Parts: sequence; C-alpha cells; structure tokens
Amino acid sequence: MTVVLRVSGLTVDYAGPVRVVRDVGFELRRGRLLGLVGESGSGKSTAALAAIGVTQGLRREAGSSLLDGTDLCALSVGRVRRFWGRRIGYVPQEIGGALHPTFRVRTQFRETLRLNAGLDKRAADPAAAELLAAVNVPDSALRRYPHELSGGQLQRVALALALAPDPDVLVLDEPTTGLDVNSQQQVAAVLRRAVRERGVAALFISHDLALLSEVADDVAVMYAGEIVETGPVTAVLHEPRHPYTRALLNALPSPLEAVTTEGIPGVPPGRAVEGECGFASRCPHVTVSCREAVPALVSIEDGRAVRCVRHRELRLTAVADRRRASTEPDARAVLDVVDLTCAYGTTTAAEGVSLRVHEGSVTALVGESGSGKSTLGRAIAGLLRPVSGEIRLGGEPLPAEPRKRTGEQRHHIQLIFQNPSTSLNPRRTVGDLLRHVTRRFVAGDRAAREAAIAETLAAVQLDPAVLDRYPGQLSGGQRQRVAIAAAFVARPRLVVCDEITSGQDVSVQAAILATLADLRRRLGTSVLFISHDLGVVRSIADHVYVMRHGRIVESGHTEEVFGAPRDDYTRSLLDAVPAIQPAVPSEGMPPEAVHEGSAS
Amino acid sequence: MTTTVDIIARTRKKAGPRRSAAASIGVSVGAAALFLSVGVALLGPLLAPEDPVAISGRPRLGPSSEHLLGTDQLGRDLLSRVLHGGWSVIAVPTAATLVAFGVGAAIGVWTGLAGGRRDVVTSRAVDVLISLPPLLMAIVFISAFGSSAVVLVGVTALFFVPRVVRVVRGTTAAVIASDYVAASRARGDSTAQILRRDVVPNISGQLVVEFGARLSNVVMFVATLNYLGLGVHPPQPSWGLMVAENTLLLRTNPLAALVPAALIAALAVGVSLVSDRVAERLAVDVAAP
Amino acid sequence: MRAILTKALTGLVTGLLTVMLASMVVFAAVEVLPRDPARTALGNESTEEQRAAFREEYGLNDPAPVRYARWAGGMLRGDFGVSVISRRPIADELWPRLGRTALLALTALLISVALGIPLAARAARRPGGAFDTVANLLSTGVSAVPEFVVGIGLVYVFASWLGLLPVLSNGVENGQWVGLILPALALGLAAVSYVFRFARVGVAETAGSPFVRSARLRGFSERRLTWRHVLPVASSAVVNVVALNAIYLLGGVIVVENLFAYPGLGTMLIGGVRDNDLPTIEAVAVVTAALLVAVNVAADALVAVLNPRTRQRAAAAESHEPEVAAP
Repeated sequence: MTVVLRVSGLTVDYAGPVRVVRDVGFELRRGRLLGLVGESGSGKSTAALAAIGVTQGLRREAGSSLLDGTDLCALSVGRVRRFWGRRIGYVPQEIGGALHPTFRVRTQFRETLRLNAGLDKRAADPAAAELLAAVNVPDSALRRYPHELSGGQLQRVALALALAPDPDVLVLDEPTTGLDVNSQQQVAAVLRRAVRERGVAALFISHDLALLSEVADDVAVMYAGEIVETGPVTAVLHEPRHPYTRALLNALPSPLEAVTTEGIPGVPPGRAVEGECGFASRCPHVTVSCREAVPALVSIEDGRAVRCVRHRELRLTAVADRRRASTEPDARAVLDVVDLTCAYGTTTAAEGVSLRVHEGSVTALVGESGSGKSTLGRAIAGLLRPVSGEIRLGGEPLPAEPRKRTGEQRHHIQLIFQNPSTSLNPRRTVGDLLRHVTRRFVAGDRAAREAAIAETLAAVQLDPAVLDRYPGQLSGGQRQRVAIAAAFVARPRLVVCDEITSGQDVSVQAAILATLADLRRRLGTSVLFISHDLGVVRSIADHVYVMRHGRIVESGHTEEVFGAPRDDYTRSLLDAVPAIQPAVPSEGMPPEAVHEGSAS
Repeated sequence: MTTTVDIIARTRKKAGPRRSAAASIGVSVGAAALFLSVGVALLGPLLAPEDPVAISGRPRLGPSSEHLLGTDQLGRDLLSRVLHGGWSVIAVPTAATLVAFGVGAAIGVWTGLAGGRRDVVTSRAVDVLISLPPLLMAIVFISAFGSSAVVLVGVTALFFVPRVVRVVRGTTAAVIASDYVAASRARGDSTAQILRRDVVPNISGQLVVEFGARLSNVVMFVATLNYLGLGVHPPQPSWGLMVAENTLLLRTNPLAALVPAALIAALAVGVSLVSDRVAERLAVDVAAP
Repeated sequence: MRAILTKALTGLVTGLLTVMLASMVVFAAVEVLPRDPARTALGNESTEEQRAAFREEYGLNDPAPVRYARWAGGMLRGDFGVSVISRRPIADELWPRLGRTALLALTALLISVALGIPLAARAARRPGGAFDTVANLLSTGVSAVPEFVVGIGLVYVFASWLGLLPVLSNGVENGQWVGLILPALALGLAAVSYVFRFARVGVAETAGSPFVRSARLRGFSERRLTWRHVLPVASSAVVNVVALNAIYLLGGVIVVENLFAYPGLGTMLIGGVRDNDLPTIEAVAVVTAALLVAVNVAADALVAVLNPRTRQRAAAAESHEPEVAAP
C-alpha cells in the first residue's frame, strides 16, 4: 500500500531544554488508518500536528515529514498553508470546534470548496450534500447553524468538511471526546467507510485503546514523547511487546468480561527523558541496561517495531488472567430507595426509581448523559430534596428534607464528585480539609483524629507531605485520591461515587479503582457507583442498575445483565461500546478482527 | 485532556510569567505617579509658602521667584493652592469607596449566599439602579443637598454600591454553586462555617481587585464633581476646581490649569496601574491548575 | 423572529421603567431642597407676600405626588415647564440642545469603535509584542484619567499651542461645526481605551478558539481569518460590552460639554444648577437620562441582531436536550 506521508526522526522542543517529542516516525498509507495512542503528556497531539507543519510556538529540532517528496516541516508557514485544506484535512477534538459559530453549514462548505477545490456555489452545494450523505447527516443540516446540530452530527459534519477538498491525508485529533457512546459509534463507522472508499491516509489520535481496536488498521503507542511500539492493531493489542503497552492493557477494563484492573505506579514525565528509557522509572521489568541509554526503535517481524532492550526476553502472554472473582452478596440492605422521584425545577430527572444496595457490595448505577443517575446520587447524598418517595439507610427512613438529616445519617453517606478540581476548596490545604471532616465525624480526641487521617492517607497511597499542599499543587489522580480519603476517613457505611473516574487517563483510572476496591475490602464499606462507562462497571460492580430517561430499565447481578441483557436499551448500549475483542486462540489469525455489532 | 504543553506550562509557573520589560515599567510608572500625587496631596499643606485663599500678589502673573507657579485670576498664589488642593480628592474618594464597598460587599454576599427569590429580587433592583447615570444623578443630588463632605461621600457611595453588589454577588454565587460547597453542605456544615471556610477565602482575591477598580473610578468621579463646581466650595482650592477656574488662563499661564490636571491624572492613573498589577499578582496565585 | 421582538420589547420596557425611576429620583431629590425657590427667584429683598404669590403661581404649595403627576404628565405632552430664571418655556431650549448632545454622544461612540476595534485587532495579532504592550499601557492610562483632564490636554495642544481649533465650542449654535471636533475627541478617547481593552481580550480569545485553528488548517490566509472569522465573532462580544456600559461612558458628556462650552444638555444642566433653576434642572436631568438609556437600548438591540445565537437562543432552548454530564 502506497505511503502517502512519511514521518521520521521528528523531535520537537519547548523553550529550550524541554523536549516534548523525540525521534517520532510513522507512515500513513492510502486507505489505512493509523491510531496514535497515548495518555496525557505523551506528546501525541504535538507530534501529529508537527507532522503536518503546525508548530504551535514550539521548535522543530530535527526530523522530517515527507508528503510526495516535500518536507512539510521545512516549509515556511506561507508555503505549508497551501497543503492545509487541499491535501491535508483536520478534524479537531472539541465538539463543533471545526465550525464557525455564526455561519450556516452550507456557507462553510462553499468557502472551503471554493478556495480549496475551485468550485463555485452551484457546484459546491450538490458536492456538500453528497458529502453529508456519506457521513449520514441529512441535507437539512446545510441550512442550519452549528448550535442547532447535535454533538454527533457536528463531528460528522466536521469530518465531511475536512474531506470536502479530497485531501490525501486526514488527521483527527480525538474527535469523539465528549460524545455519548452511540454518537461515537456512528462517527467511527462513517470514518472507517470514508477512509476505505476515498483512499485517504488517516491518522487518528486517541487515548482510547478499545476505540482504536475497532477503527484503526495500525497503531503506534506513545509514551514520554516517544513511540514505544507500532504494528497492526490486533497484533499489538493481543501480543504487546513493550511493558508500557502491556501495563496499559492491564489497566483497561472491558465491557465484554469481568476483569480486574491494575494501575501503573508513579506519574508520567510529561516530556522526553534523557539518557535512559522513558518508562524506566515505572517499569516492573527494569534492569541496569535500561538506564544506560535511550533504547532504539527496533523492527521485529510483520511490520512491527518496539523500543525496549528486553523485548525478546519479555515475550510473555498478552495479559495475565484478570478475571474477577465474583462475590457473594450480603442479604442485608444498607440503602433502600423506594419509588423516588426527583426534579430540577420543572424537569423531572428521575421517576419512580427503586434500588437497593446490599451491605458490603458495590452496586453500579449506569446510564448515559441525561439519564438522571447523577441527580439520583445527589438526592441520596442529601443535596437535593426528592419530590416523592423514600430513602432508607439501614432500614431507617431518611427525612424528606435533606437539611433535617441527623449528624449520624450524614456521617454514614458520603459523596465523591466527578471532578476533583472543583470538588476541593482551592484555598484550603488537604490537611485542613481532612481535619475538618474528622472533627465532625470521628470520635475521640485530637490524637485519634490524626491517627485516622494518617491511616486513610496510607490506604489511598498518598504521602503525608500532601497534608500541607493545596489542591492546585497536586496532579489529577492525587486530587481524586484526596477526595476519596475525605470520604472514607469518616468510616461511612455507604459511599456514593459520582463518575469519579471519568475524564481520567486509563492508568490513573485503574489506580483510583484499585484504591477504592482496597479501601472497601478493608473497611467493609458499601459503594453506590454511578458511571456511564460499562467496562469500569463490569470490572468492579456486583450489582448493576441501568437507567434511561429517569427510569430504571434493567437490574440484576452484573454478569447476568451484561451476559444476557433483557432490555433492548441495555443491549444497544453494550453493542455500541467499543471493546478490544479477546484474542482468538488459533494459529491462523483472521486478517481483520471481528467487529461486534458495528453499523456500516 | 491536558496536553503536554499544559503540563510543561504548569511546572514552569514557578518561574513567573514572561513579563516584558515595558509592562514592568508601566507598574513602576504607576507606583511613582501614585506616590507623587499622594505625597503632594498629603504633605502639600505643610510646604505651602502662602495662604491659599489670601490674595498675595497682582492677578494673572506668570511664574516668578516669588510665586513659583504664578498667580490666578484673583491674585492668589497658585503653588500654595496646588499644594492645598489635593486633600479633597484623596479623602472623599477613599471614604466613599470604603463605604460603598462595605455596604455593597455585605449585600452582595448576603444575596449570593441566599440564592432563590431573594437573589432574583436584589439582582433586578441592582440592574435598575446601575442603569441610572451616576454623574447625572450625583449632580442633581448635590444641587439639592449641597456639597458638604458628608453629602459627597454619601452620594458617591450610593451610586457605586450597586456595582459592587453586582460583582460581589456574582463571585459569591459562583462559589456557592461549586461542588466543594455542595460537599460542605452534604456534610452538614452550617451557613456560618461555609461562609468562613469556603466563601470568604475564595472571593477575597476578587474583592481586592474590585476595590482597586472602584477606587480608581471614584477618584475620577470626585475629581469631575470638583471640576463642575459641585465639590469643594470656593475659595477653598481643589485640583479639579482649579482646572475649571484657570482654563481661561490657558494662553497666558498654562501651568495654572495643567499642573492640577496633571496631578489628577497622576493620581488616577497611579491607582489604576497599581491595582491592575495587584490584580495580576493575585490572579497568578489563585490560578486554577 | 419572535425572539428578537420579545427581546426588543423587554429592552424597551426596561428602558422606560428606568427613565421613570430616574424622573422620580430627580423629582424627589429636588423636592427636598431646603432652599426656597421663591426667594431664589425673586431675590432676598422680596417680601413674604411676593414670595407667597410666586409659590401660588407656580403651584409650589400642592402636595408632592400631585406635583409629580403634573410634572410628569406635562413632560409626556412636551411641556417641560418654564424656567424660573428666564421665564421662558424650557422646551424651546431643550430640543435643539438634545439634538446637539445626541450628535456629540454618537460621534464619540463611533470614534471609539472605529479606532478601538482595529487597534485591538492589530494588538492581538502579536500578543505581548511591542505594539500590544504600548497600546495596553496607553489605554489603561487614558481610561483612568477623567474626561476633563483629557479635554484640557486636547484644548491646550490643539487650541492654545497649535491654534488649530477653537477653544470654545459655543459657535456650534451658529453652525460652526468645527466646534464639535475637540469635544467628540475628548469623549471618544476616554471611550476608546475602554473599547480597546475589551476588544483586545475578545479578539485574543476568539483567535485562540478551536474554530479559528480549524479554519487555519483549511488553508485560509491570515487576512481572511482575521476579517471573516475572528472579527465578526469578537465584535459582537465588544458591542455587548459597549452596550452594557454606554450609560457609564457617556455620563462624561456632561463634563465635556462644560469644558468646551458646547451648547448641549450638559451646559444647560450645569447652568441650571448654578442658577438654582429647579424646573430646568429637573427637565434636563430626565431628558439626559432618557437619551442615555435610549442609546443603551439601541445597542442591546444591535447585539441581538448581530449574533444569530442570541436570536435563536429562546427558540432553541425548548428543543434541545441537555448535553453534557447529567445534573
């Protein structure tokens, strides 16, 4: 297959000694999609943008990006601009971020078709209609303004707009971020079709391995500014050769089976590391030779390459058996919600909801945005007064007016929010917060409270030095652990977790889940886990309730609901969620992995 | 998703933002201007050679060794008048801003904390009051009640309170709506505790910034009232009034009008530049990660 | 369409209420006046009988609400009362002066926008650069300085020193429009710095938005990006800010008129204050307030028209489902 864009040795610096991207090389082939995957700070966006000549104020130190023999990196902005649009298409991350807010869709197509393809208005309009049809967006969208379209439609229109001038290369920067699962699936489907039919060479930046397993042909894994592994997507995901890739896969939950997840100790460096393997400080297989020099990216069989001096010795099986042992539920209920209805002003968020959390279990509440799950969580935690229905804690009904709850009742229901940047007071230190919580909820004198704090910090694996820090000085993962500590230090009977892993990197998410699981085991706390992520839910929950438009549509043991869903909605959710298919244990690997339930 | 550049930028924050030399000069100029004008205003009366209201020479004289700035229409020593004339444009604005701020911040926090109907009603009332043109209203009030210091402070404060209320209410409401206040409420913290622990520390930066901005506005406002003859009574000198009185001397002795004008400018600009810098400083400290 | 009309109507109603409130405030303040208008008008040598007759003639003995109703009613019919000093109907002086003040205010506003926005665009092109820093400093400086100081500076430079323009603008009454230049400039410069600062932030923010980056990556020239993509979006934000502050900015029109002896409402007002001419003070205050509020309402309407998002917001609110994380 023809190579359209050949990137090699790309090295980009930020203001002096900070190297953001080092020695990055990849090839984009006609009709094939390369997934560039990495967590925050891996440099994937920077590398991709540098490859199409966008510097963003950074400095290209070395390397080239050849399109038809022309090095895009060596061109001035004025020259490379001629490639943008015409031969290189771009779809940004932000939903609607490709479209001008005050022009109609049709105007924007006319603009790019005129300037990049020389089509006048009469020729442009039918071309635009055809492009929209190719991405399953109705014609009527042409007359609309961007704010009148839904998120999924916006991203598909963005794709059509980028493909309008028939470019050779297409770069997509995490284009499905923030879309619900169904919209994401639609975008992925039209993208795959467009890439094949138009023969464009596509680069898809993402942090979502599962999504890439369904959309990409090849994958390149980035860590600390370098490419650490490349190859065809199924091969890399089933038989990863680099310890980081393996660790990433171990941290990934799956909606297809109940597996435990494992975090990666330490934090990513956020830039290229000098003189040694970038992953050395966190690698479970590190030896002396890893620290002697930066390893080279070495080609191994079948179009694969890996950057690890020990790759031959470490040819272990893909992932250890991560299957999760199932637990026997306790019969007693710690929380009973009976026929609860909640509203925000005039909109009903939840209607007639009944659920039960058994003592010592993890019960998940699953649903998409707008399903009402968060509202329910808030009502249970006492932030919202329900319109009708009852909430019982340990059999005892809670007062309808949350303000009337007793100290004891508040003690035993704690809430952890989704975004630790906003759920922690930025002007108070961690110690201040924990002491305030213990003063209210922990019996005994000052020494007893300090002991409780110390114990909880150890349990969430935070250094005691964190007590003197402000939230702004901690990383996202650390902040979430502080929030978890604040909830658990009171030793409550029930902890409500509202999307606590959303928006976190995969490895951080796994660490948070591990911390949660550990604490729960030790203290016997019950957890109501609210989430939209089916993989996470399958990996930690014993029971699950599925919510849609404010009602419970299905419930039961996790394995039963996921294995044999009875409700159509549950089934459609499971179908739409991207997942890495388990490896087929035969010699002849099928050339393309089976895609479950994909629309075409 | 944070990008690599974000992470790097965050760790570099300690090194300080890249301030160009010119911007730093701006702050130094502001501080110097402030220092100079306040110095003249406060210390001037001690240094004045003549009685500012007494006629000490022939009218409309240019600068000489006896009268360093010359004399005005009536023969009064201009230098002495300048040295005595700054007090009113410092005292009244400071007092007025303190009053406006005290009252406005209290109302703003009270209504931001409450939310609901109380908030809506207060906000509407504030919106309407803000739409009354302040200078115009002040002119009417002063022509009715006279221009004693009390009236000046009162009227000025009255018309700046709604602005303060609006800003303070906005900041307080944003804090009240945050997750960490929700968490405090869920825990059962009392309103007093939420106020002390959550609200005050998170609005104080904004309040300081707002105070500086208001002070700057009020200085301009009071100087303008003086100019229109609605502040200090003649024959007492005030910089604003002197600009008005000496406009006719512009051809023969421009200093008579320009010196007080320049001093007013120095004071106003000084307050503004310095408070801008303080705002920047605080914003950097309070910056969200 | 209905959304615009509703918005315009609400704006109009709020404006009218504001003017009404202003008139009540003005009337109330003047009512409490300790000075005796009769004594002021007739002088200290007048007798008590003369003063009593004066009060009777002008209806000064009636209770306050009655007098307010009479006064307000009169204004709505175009009768603004009679000047206690000149004994002539105030309306005669009022209309021509209103026209001249409106002209001055609008000219100043135009100057501020015509200068402010392009300057901001130029400054935002290279944030932190020489032009940007200097412009920012200057605008902070000028916006902190009272209008009369700017005015006196302009008078000195252009009239006194260079002798290009007249010091006083009372010639405008006789059609000497050159007298409009300096006052408009003085008022406009104060407003320019304000507009510049907000426009600069608006442009910088817009220039950094994703849609501009995407447009750039579609190969469009920087010039096209600035004029067709950035400025239209940034401008509506600027107009918004200007609209919100038109009243505050234009309050300076009173001072500027007095400095230049420009024959508008501002000079009429201060003249009335000096002479203790109550009816004049009341009438001019209310009309000036009405003028400023009218400018504000017009600017608000302009914002709504410019930005299709605000146009559609009311209609869209019903049809859209909540987007991101559920509340």
